[in-house]
Amino acid sequence: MGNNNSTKNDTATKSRFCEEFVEIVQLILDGEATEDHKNRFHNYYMQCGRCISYYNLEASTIEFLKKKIVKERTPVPEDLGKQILSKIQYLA
Amino acid sequence: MNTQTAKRPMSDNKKNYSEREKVSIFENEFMPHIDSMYNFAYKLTFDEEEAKDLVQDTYLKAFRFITSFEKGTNAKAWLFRILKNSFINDYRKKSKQPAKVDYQEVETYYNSENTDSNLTIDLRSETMQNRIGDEVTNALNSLGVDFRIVIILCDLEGFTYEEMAKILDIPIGTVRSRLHRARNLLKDKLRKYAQSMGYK
Repeated sequence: MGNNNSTKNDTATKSRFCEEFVEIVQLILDGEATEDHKNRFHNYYMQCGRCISYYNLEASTIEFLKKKIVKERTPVPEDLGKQILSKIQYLA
Repeated sequence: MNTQTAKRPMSDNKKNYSEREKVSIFENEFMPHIDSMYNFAYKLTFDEEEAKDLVQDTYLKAFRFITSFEKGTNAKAWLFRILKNSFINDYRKKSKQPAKVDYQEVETYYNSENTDSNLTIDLRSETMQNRIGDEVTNALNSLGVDFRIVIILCDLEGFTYEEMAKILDIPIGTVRSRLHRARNLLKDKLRKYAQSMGYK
């Protein structure tokens, strides 16, 4: 199901999933999907076992990457805020 | 010629804030984002001192141009846009280490066959997550700056595509495709790392 539209050229046919499906998955995982995207996703793509597997794998990967990246926050140097505010006093 | 635009005085978009209001906006709307600003700067420069300078310069510019900011609107996105432009225009030029060229990565991505199938990595097992966890930062830091920026904006700071488009001055479609490419490059690096560790 997911590769029905991949007939434009060789690269597309080699790809496992059509461009639309991959795009919709990304939009859903980033919270950017419209109602149309969500309907298309649930009523069409989620009827296909391979598409469901791809979605689950992609969802867990993106979730893992986001968690790891968020954990890597660097603490702000203590004096930075004060330094900025003191410089602003001269400009104000 | 757009007559409406031509008739509109330049000062129309500028706000008439009193000095007290300027300081209030600065302290209450700009300063709360210092943590995110510093993290963005640090992930661009990889250097604590340069990150501090970049954040300071950004805040000083923000104060100087505060009349272009509309009170109560998206201060974080406005500040990030200034910081990104400062980095591209000033810091990247004087950086000791030249920024990595993105084109090579883009080319590699497009030349690879089985575009999507190659770029899948199964991170569902806890063992795999623990093993590969430390490598995520290295993989992210090794991406070209344009790809690194979209990942930071989206996955670390939670900006929407629309906000990212404004920060980066690019269309929303480009944000979406750049983010897709960036994540695929990241997954590809992690997949290769996992393979080198003996995982398939």
